[in-house]
Amino acid sequence: MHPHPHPPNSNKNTSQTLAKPKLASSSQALLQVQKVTKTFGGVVANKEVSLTVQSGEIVAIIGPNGSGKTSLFNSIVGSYPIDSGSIVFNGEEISSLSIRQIALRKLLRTFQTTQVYTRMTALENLYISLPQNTVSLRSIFSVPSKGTKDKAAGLLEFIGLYDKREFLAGDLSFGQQKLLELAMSLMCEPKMLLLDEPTAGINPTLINGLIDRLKTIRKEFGVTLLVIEHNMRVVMNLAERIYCLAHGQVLVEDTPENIQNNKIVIEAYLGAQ
Amino acid sequence: MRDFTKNDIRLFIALCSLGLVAPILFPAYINQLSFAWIFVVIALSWDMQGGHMGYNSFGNIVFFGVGMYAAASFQILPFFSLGDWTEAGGVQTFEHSVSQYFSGYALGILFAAIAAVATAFIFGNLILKMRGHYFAICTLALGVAIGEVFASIEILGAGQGLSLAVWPRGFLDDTYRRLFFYYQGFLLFVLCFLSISYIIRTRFGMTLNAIRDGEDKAESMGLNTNFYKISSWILSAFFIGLCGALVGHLVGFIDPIDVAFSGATYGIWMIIMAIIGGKGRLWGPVIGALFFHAFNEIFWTYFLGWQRVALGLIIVIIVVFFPEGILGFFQVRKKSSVSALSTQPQQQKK
Repeated sequence: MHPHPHPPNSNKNTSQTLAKPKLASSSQALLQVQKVTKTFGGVVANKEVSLTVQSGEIVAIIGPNGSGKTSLFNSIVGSYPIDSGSIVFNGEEISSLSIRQIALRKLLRTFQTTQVYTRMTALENLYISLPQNTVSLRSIFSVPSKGTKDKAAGLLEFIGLYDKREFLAGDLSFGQQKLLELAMSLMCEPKMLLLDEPTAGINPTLINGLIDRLKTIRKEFGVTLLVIEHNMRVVMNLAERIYCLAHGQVLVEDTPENIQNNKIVIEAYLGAQ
Repeated sequence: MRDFTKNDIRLFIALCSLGLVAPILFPAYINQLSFAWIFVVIALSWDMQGGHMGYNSFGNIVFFGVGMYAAASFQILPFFSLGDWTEAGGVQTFEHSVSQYFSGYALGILFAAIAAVATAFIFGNLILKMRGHYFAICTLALGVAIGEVFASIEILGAGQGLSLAVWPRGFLDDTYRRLFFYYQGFLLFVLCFLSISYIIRTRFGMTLNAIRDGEDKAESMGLNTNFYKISSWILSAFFIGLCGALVGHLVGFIDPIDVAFSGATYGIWMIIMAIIGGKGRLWGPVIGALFFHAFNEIFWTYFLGWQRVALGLIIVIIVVFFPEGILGFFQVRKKSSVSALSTQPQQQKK
């Protein structure tokens, strides 16, 4: 699959694209997944999946249950080794790195079923999510600094959980835990975030707010987003490009408008052969 | 939960004052009181893994035994041949002079700490990658295996055990000997309690909690979980090793299986004490250890032969009715009565 031309979503990005020669466009991609195959015994989770995400983009992955979306996330962040293919992040091959080494390169993910530190307060969850390569031995053995505390409080404010800051994370609702997990990722100052169904379990009235926040995260925090999402309203509002996966393979890659009218996608979702 | 409140400080000062005058108030119980502090320290240290980090280690007894042997042998080594010492068996007598005794003593304490820390570092690197039941079973086996290894080292007396240097003859009387050990136990408690109460407020302590709540998540956030796990084991080993040294001196004789690497007594007691009091809470192991020790001594004295039965019974009662321990039981009750009255977060302290 050819790298998709970069959509002119902002002036800054457009000028960058124009300034560089055409060949450089592929090396400019923040994340480049090429022909990744992953099998579990006889089950093929991903088969020669290729996708590209440019810096500053919001890209969505859709597909029916079991189509290999989450497996692809696991492969990208190094949860388990891939069988073949290559994954390049920020110009560096990361497919053989461990999950921690990849996290240190500022590529983070959130989980479909929330993973927060349940018996710690919301604030404490953020305190220890600072980017680890900036943490000194001395600060490990100190109480969180004022800067850390302010940053954590600010992020909880941004995500809408400031009132719950002293609650144990385990006492928060599922939706609130999702938001907390997002805030934890932001605390870590990622270059790119892989979000696994960020709106699942979130109150429908809050979803619009979340879409706005995700856009703000891209714009103000400069975070590139790759999102798995089932809620079509969210996908259409949020993403600039969409990959549709089925049976572990990339079925279609297109803009939201075209995807909506694509017969193959509709058939894949409805289960027609 | 994490902050050291005014009440904590008051309680700590009260306990310290009591600790300072206790030997004067109860001169007949100095040895039991020394053991009380030692029990508090081993329970607190075990809780670093078992409570705060969520790693149930049955192998911390290893540090206890290693510390004990190091303290005993390095007190002897600079002045006598260790081989002759263990082979003598009463035929030959060795006596430390006052200066030999105390300089050797200091050296022994130093090496007890070093040996325990080194042991924790080596085994931590080997087995702390395991999790859950696998880690628990591995540490259990480790405790037994190391005990057997020491029981076969000839120069340390092998299965016959090792006698410690005796208090120098004619130097002060026995009361002072007891006080000497008592105040070391007490000092160890103060040091251990203050270190741990500080540690759990730092990012280090929070990271241990994070490992307990979700090690995979911590790893995926870029935390070097191995570093934290090994460091916390080293910290535990430091205090438990020193406790081992002190217990060696208090008992006066090291049997490799029944004293030094006694998984069935000290090894399991440190766990029970932390659980009785409430693991993962600063005061839990303190309360648990004091309760356990008092309980044990009372049964030992008045219902000899029944103490193990009673101990079994109390473990069952704690596990069934107070799974969060004594402290946890009261905190949960307090919490639910608060939350029934208001919707304010229970953890709020500011």
